[in-house]
Amino acid sequence: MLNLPLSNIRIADFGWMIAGPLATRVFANFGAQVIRIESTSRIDEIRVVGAKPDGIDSPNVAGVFNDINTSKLSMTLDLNTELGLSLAKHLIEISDVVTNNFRGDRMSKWGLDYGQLKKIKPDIIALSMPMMGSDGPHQHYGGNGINIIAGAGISGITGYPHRAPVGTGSLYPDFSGNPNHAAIALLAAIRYRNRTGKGQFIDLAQYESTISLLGTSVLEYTANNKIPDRPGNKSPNMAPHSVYPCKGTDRWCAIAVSNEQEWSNFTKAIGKPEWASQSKYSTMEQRKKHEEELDKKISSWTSSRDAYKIMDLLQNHGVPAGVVQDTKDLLTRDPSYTKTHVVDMAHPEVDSMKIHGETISISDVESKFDRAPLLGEHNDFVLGEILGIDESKIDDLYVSGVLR
Amino acid sequence: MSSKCPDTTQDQVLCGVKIIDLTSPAGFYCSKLLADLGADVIRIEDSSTAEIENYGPFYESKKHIDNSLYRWHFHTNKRSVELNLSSKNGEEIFLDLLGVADVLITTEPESKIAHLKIGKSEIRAKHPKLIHTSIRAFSSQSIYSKYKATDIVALAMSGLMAITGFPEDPPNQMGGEQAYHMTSMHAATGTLIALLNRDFTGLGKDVEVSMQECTSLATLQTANLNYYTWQNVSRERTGLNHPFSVPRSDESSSNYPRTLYQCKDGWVSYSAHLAPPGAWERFLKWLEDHDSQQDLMDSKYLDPETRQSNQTHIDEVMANHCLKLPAQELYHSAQRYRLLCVPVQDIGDLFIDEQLNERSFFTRVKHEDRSNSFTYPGAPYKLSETPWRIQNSAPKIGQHTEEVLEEWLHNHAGDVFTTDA
Repeated sequence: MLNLPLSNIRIADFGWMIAGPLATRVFANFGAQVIRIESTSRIDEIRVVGAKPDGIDSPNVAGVFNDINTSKLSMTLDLNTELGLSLAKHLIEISDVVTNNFRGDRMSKWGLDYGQLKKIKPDIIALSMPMMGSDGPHQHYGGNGINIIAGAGISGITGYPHRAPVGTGSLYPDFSGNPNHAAIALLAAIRYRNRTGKGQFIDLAQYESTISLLGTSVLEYTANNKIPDRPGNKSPNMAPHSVYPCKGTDRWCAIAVSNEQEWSNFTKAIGKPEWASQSKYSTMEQRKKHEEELDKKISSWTSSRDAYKIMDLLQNHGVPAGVVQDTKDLLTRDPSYTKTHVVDMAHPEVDSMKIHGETISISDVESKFDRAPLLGEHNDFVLGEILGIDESKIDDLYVSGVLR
Repeated sequence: MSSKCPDTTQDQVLCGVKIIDLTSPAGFYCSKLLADLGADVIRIEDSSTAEIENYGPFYESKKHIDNSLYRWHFHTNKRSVELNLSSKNGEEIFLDLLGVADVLITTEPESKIAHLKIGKSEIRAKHPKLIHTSIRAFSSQSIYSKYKATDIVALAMSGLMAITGFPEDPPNQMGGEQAYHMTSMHAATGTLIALLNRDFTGLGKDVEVSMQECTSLATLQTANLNYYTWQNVSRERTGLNHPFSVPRSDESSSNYPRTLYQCKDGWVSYSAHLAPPGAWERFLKWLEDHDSQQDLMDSKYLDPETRQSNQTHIDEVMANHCLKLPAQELYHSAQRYRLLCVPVQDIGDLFIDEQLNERSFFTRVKHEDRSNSFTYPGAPYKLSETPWRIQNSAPKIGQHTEEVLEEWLHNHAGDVFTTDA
């Protein structure tokens, strides 16, 4: 048995799609017993969309699902039956945390809103993370990461000013502020509960949580009365700062020079030490002023060279630089990434599956990292071992059709 | 480990937790998250801080560290202690502070503690209760462990940048330095796990996260590693198209490929994918309400396969529909039909948003030194018992030196704080 820091925590996880389940992933990886409450009559869509192996029709093999549900248990339960609901409540009674990311009043329709949960388990910690939060005129509005990134203002500051607000190419909020802020709030609430015996309700509006990632944009507006534009790849604090074309098709290397020492090192590295003494490049302000011309010169130096060689050369001179890597690069050209981050996960229904490893490492603690559960894989375990129901009664439950 | 809280944070969840913040920008949001939940976060700064960390934009465009909106935003609730770590006295005081701190947060590979005589393992041996959170550019196990990264470099190396932007443009850096934010959030999570662990074991831990790995997590859907493993596909930039739709091989790309549509006065994002059941029928009603349906009422479109093979046409109908109407009208009318439509908003739009105003999202922060208040982004989460709060604006460099040394070391500042410190 591994001595994992969260092994005394049990979470009844009603999360679905991405943001909810991703919030509890880190808990499961560090030992918490996270039980997904699912249904076979309305299968969590993330079990069936996105990356899937060819020719396998199963709710257990989708890449994204397997990535965001590592180390969890799965139980199927028909919550629209009285018996199913009472089993869920039974589970809540012995859980520390209940999570969901449904919109609107889904949980209260089941009688599982915070007020009700508190009656079942007085010190329960409940996390609810609908897009718009738990009150307000738009509380029932729905959307996913693509919509939230647009509404919250990140798309508006991404890309080039003369181009459309392209957004992020990823359902970014589903992977960033929303699950991460949720995990932080939950951990904080658990510590408070441990110290005071009091549970609490966490109301996380995914819209607001994403606005919290805008950095200085809000202050630029409120203090300087300026609406920030799309900056392309420019930085107000660094020059040169962009991605530069390299040898090959669609190959780019990011370079970011953040101070005078790095500038001097950069000019030496690329064999243009004379740039360092030119007054038009002598300070960050000057380089910003002549940024376009400078970027052109740098591009003409980079465009005939290999992106990885440029990165190595610049980094060896102490200049931050990195290749714009795609999945193939990450899996075939970055040995560190595959060694430190990518996990080859054994799976009963697929020959090979690659999963993102746990991002947090803690000294003397191995994170658990079991494969994501098959749909309903742990019904017997949850009913028998966790809820203590007799084997014969479990058989009755199967017959009654409530376990689906 | 004293856990005495000042009155101002007594109702907050991390009240009494002492944190030493030695981070560069990749870690600023980490310590802000903890400070806004009530932790006592002190930044160790020196005369070079004003030069190195003088990040724009600046208040009224006047370049000065005290006007740095970057500092304003990220250092809320933190205190500043001026200490020169390369001086003997400064290092001694720092080590004394370490002795009473609960958490030390540093950013690697350029951490200031690298210059101390005392090494990481000595710190661990001497302060077994201390939690040391190290935020790295690349994993310490990586061949790139000594490489440096800013936000754009981490986005590039993580795989996220390769899928951001138009295919005909260079890859784009996401706005708002998201690699820094992602990494900081993972670091705060790891710190809190270590803190919970210490509550039981009495022992601190070394926590490590890397920008490359944390940022990479945001690619796990669009550019899932298994697209390459199973189909030999590396996802590319898709511009306005839904990342699922190019290249397409699965049912999730049905109906219409685009995610952004131009409307009368801007743009809306629309997610036809993963919409709840019955979305097609509700979509038609929505179009009908605005007389935009064209021929889509034809029963042949009830068949998902027909819709799939007529994607381009449906997309055109939708595009024309959106062009007729302002973003806000599209937003509210679509949401009434439970369709996933949200306008592309700029910062100004957020301040006239009914929902944000009703929930009092934005928060006023008093700047004592200016006898003025400014509006900041509010709570990323609302905890019913232990409020998130911005109590104090960012400190001036060295503003709290005496106060912190007095509180943390129970010393009169004059006794320990000499001119070379």
